Parts: sequence; structure tokens; C-alpha cells
Amino acid sequence: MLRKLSLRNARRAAKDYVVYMITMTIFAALMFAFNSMLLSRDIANLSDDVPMMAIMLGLATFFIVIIIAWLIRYMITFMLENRSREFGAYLLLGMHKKQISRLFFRENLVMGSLAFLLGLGFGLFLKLVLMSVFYSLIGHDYHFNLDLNPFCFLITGGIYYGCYLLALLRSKRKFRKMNIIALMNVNKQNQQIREKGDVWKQWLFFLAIGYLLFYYFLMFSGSADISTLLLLTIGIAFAVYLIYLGIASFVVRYIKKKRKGIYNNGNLFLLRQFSAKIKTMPFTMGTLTVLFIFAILSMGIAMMFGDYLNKQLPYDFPFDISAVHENPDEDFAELIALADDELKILDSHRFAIWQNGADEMNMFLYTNLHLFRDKYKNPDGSPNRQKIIDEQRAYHSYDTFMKLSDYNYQRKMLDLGEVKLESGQYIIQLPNRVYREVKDKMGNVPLIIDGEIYQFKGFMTDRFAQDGHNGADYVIVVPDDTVGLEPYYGRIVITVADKKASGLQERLDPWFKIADNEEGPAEETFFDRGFGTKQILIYSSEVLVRADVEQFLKYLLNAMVFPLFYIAMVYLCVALTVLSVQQLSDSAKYKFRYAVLKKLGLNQREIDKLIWKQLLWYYLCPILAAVFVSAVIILTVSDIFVRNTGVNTMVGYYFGFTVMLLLGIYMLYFLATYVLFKRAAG
Amino acid sequence: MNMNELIRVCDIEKYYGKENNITKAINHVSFSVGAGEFIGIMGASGSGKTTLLNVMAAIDSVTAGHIYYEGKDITEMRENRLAEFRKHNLGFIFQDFNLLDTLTVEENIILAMTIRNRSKREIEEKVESILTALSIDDIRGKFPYQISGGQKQRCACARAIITNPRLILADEPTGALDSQSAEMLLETLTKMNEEMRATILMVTHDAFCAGYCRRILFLKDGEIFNELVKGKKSRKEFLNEIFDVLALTGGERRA
Repeated sequence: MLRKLSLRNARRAAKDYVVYMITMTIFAALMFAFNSMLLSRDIANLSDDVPMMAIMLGLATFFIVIIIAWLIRYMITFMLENRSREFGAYLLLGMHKKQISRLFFRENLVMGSLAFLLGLGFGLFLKLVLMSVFYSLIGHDYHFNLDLNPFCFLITGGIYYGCYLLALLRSKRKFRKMNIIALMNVNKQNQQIREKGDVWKQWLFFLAIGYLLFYYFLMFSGSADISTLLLLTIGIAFAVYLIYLGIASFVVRYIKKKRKGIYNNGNLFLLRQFSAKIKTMPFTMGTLTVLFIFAILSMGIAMMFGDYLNKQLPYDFPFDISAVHENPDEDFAELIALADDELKILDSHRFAIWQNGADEMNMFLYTNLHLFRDKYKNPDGSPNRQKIIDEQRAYHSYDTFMKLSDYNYQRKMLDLGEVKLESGQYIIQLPNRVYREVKDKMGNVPLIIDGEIYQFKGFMTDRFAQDGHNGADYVIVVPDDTVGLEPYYGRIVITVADKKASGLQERLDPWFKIADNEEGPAEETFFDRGFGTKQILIYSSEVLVRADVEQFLKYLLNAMVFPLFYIAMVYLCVALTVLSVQQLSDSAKYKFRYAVLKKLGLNQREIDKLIWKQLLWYYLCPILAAVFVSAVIILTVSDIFVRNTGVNTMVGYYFGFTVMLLLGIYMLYFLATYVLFKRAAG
Repeated sequence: MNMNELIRVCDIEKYYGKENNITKAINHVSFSVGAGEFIGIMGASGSGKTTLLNVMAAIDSVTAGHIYYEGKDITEMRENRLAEFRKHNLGFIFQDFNLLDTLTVEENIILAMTIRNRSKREIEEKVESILTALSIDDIRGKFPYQISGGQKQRCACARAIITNPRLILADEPTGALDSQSAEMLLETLTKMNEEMRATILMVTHDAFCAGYCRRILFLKDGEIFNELVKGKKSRKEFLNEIFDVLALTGGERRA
């Protein structure tokens, strides 16, 4: 009989908590798919040295399990409270607490297993999609491979049921403490609203808003150091909880002061509903907001890396093979032989980078780029040379020059148009990120070579390998007949027929190291090469084989992008589920309230409008708070990212696109809740 | 049509069920209600009184017949017009109060005005006077769960009358109250009728309660079978008459 009852209850609960069931199915599917990637031999074989994907997915799983365990615990407690009268009735009928606890345990296990099995089926499909997307992103062909790893089933099932068991064990303790009268009165307790002594709480709301505005100010003005900002960022979570502790009191004060807004149609009803709901669950609302913040941050950062992969990677590595050598006359014979043997050389160009014994341009950049701020400026604004020499290696020791013919040859290899220069003229070739900062000033730095003043013709910002190869951050292009320059270091660029990753990079690295080691450790003997001011994503080597480097970086970055998306999706779905279930489970209570409003004279259209507004306020509250808080973090991080990686993207893009994407998923949950709610409460 | 007539119920019928299993809840009922009347509908359980109230409140439809409010037939109106009609013409008092538990006493009354888009000033003035008139101004800031049944019902009365409806419909308003609270409520309804000129139609099965009305219609098996008018009689005399009628129908006696 009990088994029959638990099955019937499980079926009913699955219907009542359909959103929760869907989320658990999605979670099981996501976990299975990502665990499959984590344990996939194919992916492990992609990079022997760096098991980045496994590390990142393992970390993501850790954070996700914490939240899913919280969701299950929350839902089980929630169901327990909602059904307390029913359990009270079982006790009255003479059932033992143990029997009821076992009944509840069984029901949840049935529901959980149903979602798990559905999730596995969906997860198998999702895994294939994710694998093919991942492979296409890193430029590999994916051969359909079901690769059913029993270990993956074991891990997924272990984590999933582990979360369930933890939550259910806790519910067992709750059952032990229950008594009939307490069970019967649980619902009544929820309806009591206490307002006395709450006035001070509204100040928490203003305090939290004040804290957030102060945080905004510090972030945008850049007047705090990183450690202070990190500390303040942790404080953000507290501020979010304070907002919810204070907002209900704030709304109640607003109503009690009889502000004009309450006299507008059904606003009074909506404001009271809203404050009553927030008041009973400030901690839950705070946690939901924090989850949304994490989801926005994770997705925003994933977007940045994704954008770098799409836009900046081809810009940063334009040549099939590019190498430098301290000897300006280096013939690169071994490199050429090896490259031709493996990839078949179509075209190559060997040349020298030049210097004029001066460092005016370098000094200009050390004192004008945002990265260095005023660190290397004397009080009169002039560069502090000694400090720069002692501390900095961003640029070569001397300003770097390139002859026009070498410049144009490389442009031709990159399918770029020819550039013309008159005698006595020069142009500066530099990457976009530096150009954006110096475009108004750098052309005014006087360039004197061998006593002759050169005239600045303009900037070029095409992709040109300027992380230490074609200069560091910049190279000055001068006519071929320029005199007074000394060869600085040797360069070669090569175009090959076979553009696919071949592992040549790995084979060439030791060749360069051996070359260096002839005279001692590489860093000490190789010339004073700088790498430019690019930050965050740096890959530097004396020799760069594009296909290999790109594959490595794509693997590395996707190993971050995928888990970040994974975290964002799960956090978002968990938060939306809690929001949705909270509203739907109260629909019986709302049914009565809307029936009263109908008797008071509201027509169905007006009732529908009120339901829409009520859900919208409730749904918008945590997402707006999350958007408000994460905006400042994402915009600041985006600014740093765009400035330091050189990605040609508007700073607000990542934030805007992330929010749009999340709002899309948000809307789906919202509309589903609205339809179900309307049906239940209408 | 009587010059003073507010409502005319013309030969209405209300059937439930289908084909072979039809229940006649109201069967050929006709009567009029004058403006400013306090009319009671009495009858035993299942006599059709609540159904009659529901069709008059336009929250249920008739199977046949017509109901005219100042000459306008509400049985011919569509749902949206009916909602508008309810909003501007009717006030309700229910047995289980139907107060919103998240709103205070005062806010429950304010809400009835705000959904009719009245101005802030008008709302404030009217709420103040109604709270005083019904002696509930001292509990204005309390939530329904903090006050007694009688206080809740007076709050419901205030909510029903504040919009100046043409008709107040009361469905067993004393059903959930103790005798003292019931008496206070009935005094309130009488006051609303006499001093505020409210027209009240009250459904009850309680003779003591009906004794406050000025006219009573008795329903039995969906049909009107008797009518009593208080006229100049004292309440006690009127109550005795009611008991006499109830003795014929087997209705409830309580005094």
C-alpha cells in the first residue's frame, strides 16, 4: 500500500514541480555530457602536457555540485513544508514517522531517478553536440564516436545520487523532530506578517545601494588597487543580502506613508504581495541573485575568450611560420629545411630589423600607455630612464625599424596592399590596442635618424606579429634608402602549403633552444628582446608555427570557455527553477486572492495583467540586482581585456550580449511559469 | 415599472446538469427590489438562495429569464461589460470575509477604490469617514489574521460600501460570527441602509439575522413561496412572523 501511495505521490509531485523536474533533467544531461568530455580519451589525446580541460571541468563540477546540492535540499525542504498538513494527516491516521519518512524518501528517489534517466538520454545526444562543437572550434574533424565510458555513468550517477542522499538524510532528521500540531500549523505560520520593529531594516537597503555605488565609483575611477577591489567584491555578496533584508521594509514604509504610487490601480495589491514574498525569503532571493551574478560573470568571461578566439587569434599570428634570431644575418637554413620537408614552403622572406641607437619611441610608450600609468614619469613628465631600465623588459633596448621593401613583401604575403613612402617619411605599424591609446600623440614624437628629421606619414594597424617579432608593440617603417641604421636582429616569415597543425612547433622549439644553449641559458644570451605590452593571453617564442600555436591556444581557451558556459547554464537554471517553483507552489493561495479581486470588479484581462506584473516584479528583482552588480565587474574586466588583448570589440558588447542571452533563457522560464501560474490561479 | 424600482427579476430559471439529470436550482422566480431597500432571501439549504444571489451578482448566468438593473438587462451582457457592471454597481459581503491576507484593514478598503481608479484625495477622505462610521479606525493598521471575525466582517462591509454601489449583496454575512459579533454586524448593515441609503440584498438561513431586513422573500425548491414585509412592526413581531413561515417550510430557527 505504501509503495502504491509513494508512486502516486511521486507522479503528482512530478506534475506539480514540473519545472524542477525539467531542471534536474537538464542538470543530469549537462553533467553527463561534460563528464563524458572530461573523461574522453580523444580530448585527452589532444594535449599530452596540459590536461587543462580535465582540470577546468573538474573545477566546474565542484562548483556545480555545491549549487545542485543546495537546490535539491531547498526543493526537498520546500516540498516537505508544502505537504506538512498531508504528513500531519498521515500521523493522525496512525502512521509512524519512520514510515512517512520512508514514503517521502521513496517518492523523491522515484522523481530523481526519472529525471536522471531522461537526462542520460538527452545527455548522450548533448555530448555528441558538444564534442562536435568543441572539435570544430579547435579546427579538428570530429569522427562520430559514442564512446560509452562506464566510468562516466558511475561518476554522473554518483554525484547525482550523492546530492539527493545528502538532502534526503537531512529531511529524515526533520521528520524525527516533527509533531502533529506543528505540521498542521506550518502553512498558517507563513501567513503572519510582522512589521513592528522593522523600520530600521529599510536603511539596510540604502546602505547596500550606497555600498554598490561606492564600489562602482572605485571600479570606474580606478582609484583602488586590485587587493582592495577584490576585498570589496566579496562584500558585494553581503550587500546583495542586505538589499533583500531591507527592500521589503522599504516597500512597506512606502505603502504606510501612502505614497502616490499605491493609489494606482492594483499597485497596492502588487506591492504588498511583493513585500510579503521577499520578507519571507530574503536569504533565498539573495542566493538567487548571487547565482545570477555568477552566471553573468561566467558567461561574460567565456564570451571574452570566445571572442578572442574568433577575432584576435588570426590577428596575433598572421604568418604561417615566423621566427627571430639575435644574429641579423642568420640564414635560418635548418628551419627552412624542416618546414619545407614537413609543410612545403610556398614563399619565404628573410630580412633584418634595424635600430638607430635611440629609444625615444620606447620612452614615449613607457610614459604614455595606460598600463604603466605614471609609474615611469619624473615629476616634470619626462621618462625616468633608470627606473625603466631597472624594471622593464616590454620593449627592445632600442627603437625598432623596418625597411619599406621588407614591410611591403610581408604585406603581400598577407594579401595586404602595398604602402608607399617618400624619402624622409616614415609610418608606424602597430597593433590596434596600442594605436587606440597613442593615435593622437605618437606621431608628434620627433624622429631623427643620422641627424635628419623624418616626417610622420601615418599609422598602419594591420595584423603583423608584433609581440617581439616585427618589433614589440610597434615598428617604424622607413624608406629603403634610409641611412644611419644598424641591423638589430634577424627575421624570417614563411608561407606554407599545408596549413594544418603538424606538431612542427614542438620540434622547432628545441632547435632554437639548442642554438641558444651554445652560449649559455637562453634568457641570458639571447638579445634584449621585448614582447610588447600585451597582457592576459600571451604566447611568445622565437619561432611561431601558426597552425600549432592556434590549435594549442584554441584547446586551452576552449577548456576555459566550455566549463564557464557549463557553470553559467547550471546556475541560471537552478536560480530560475527556484523562482518558478516558489510562485507555482503558491498558486492556490493566489487563486483565492485573484478570485476576491474578480469579485471586487476586475475583469479577466485586468487579472491577467496583474498576474503578469506580479510575476514580472518577482522575476525582475533578482535579475535586475544581478545585472546592476555584475555590470560594473564585467565592464571593468572587459575594458582590461579589450585593452590588453587588443580584441577589436566594444567594451559593452560582452556585457550586453551576455545579458541578452541570459534574458532569452530567462524569458522562456518566465513565460512557462506565467502560463502555468495563470492556469493554476486563474 | 415602479419609479423607485432598482432591480427587476423577470421569470428567471437556472438549471444544472444535462438531459436526464437536471436540477432546477431556480424555477420561474420574479420580484423587484426598490432603491434603498434592505431585502432578505431566506430558505433552507439547497433552496436556491445562493444561486439566486450569484445570478443577481452577474457571477453566474441564468438559463432563462431576465434581470434588469434600472432597465438594463444584465443577462444579455458579455463578460467584459459584466465585469464593468460589477465594478461600478455592486458591493459584496461574504460569509468567509474574503479579505486579502497580505493587506491591512485600511488597505483592503483602499484597494476597492484604487481598482476603480479614484483619486488619492477622494480615497483618503472616504476611507477616513468609513473607518470612523463602522468603528474600525482603531484596527486600520492590522492584518486580517490579527483581528476578530466580527471586525473582519465590518472591514468587508466598509470595503463593500465605500464605492457607493447601487446594490450590496451579502451572502450569509453572519455565518462565521459569534452571536455578539453577528448582532454588531447587523446593526452596521442597518446603519448602512438607513443612514447611507445603501440598498442591501442579504441571503441567510438565520431567522434572527433576517429580522433586520425590511422585506423577506422565502425560497423553497427554487421557487418563491412567501413574502413578508416588516412595515411598522417591531423587530420582535416581525421575527415571530418569520418563525411562523419557517414552521411551514422546516427552516432553521435561531434567536
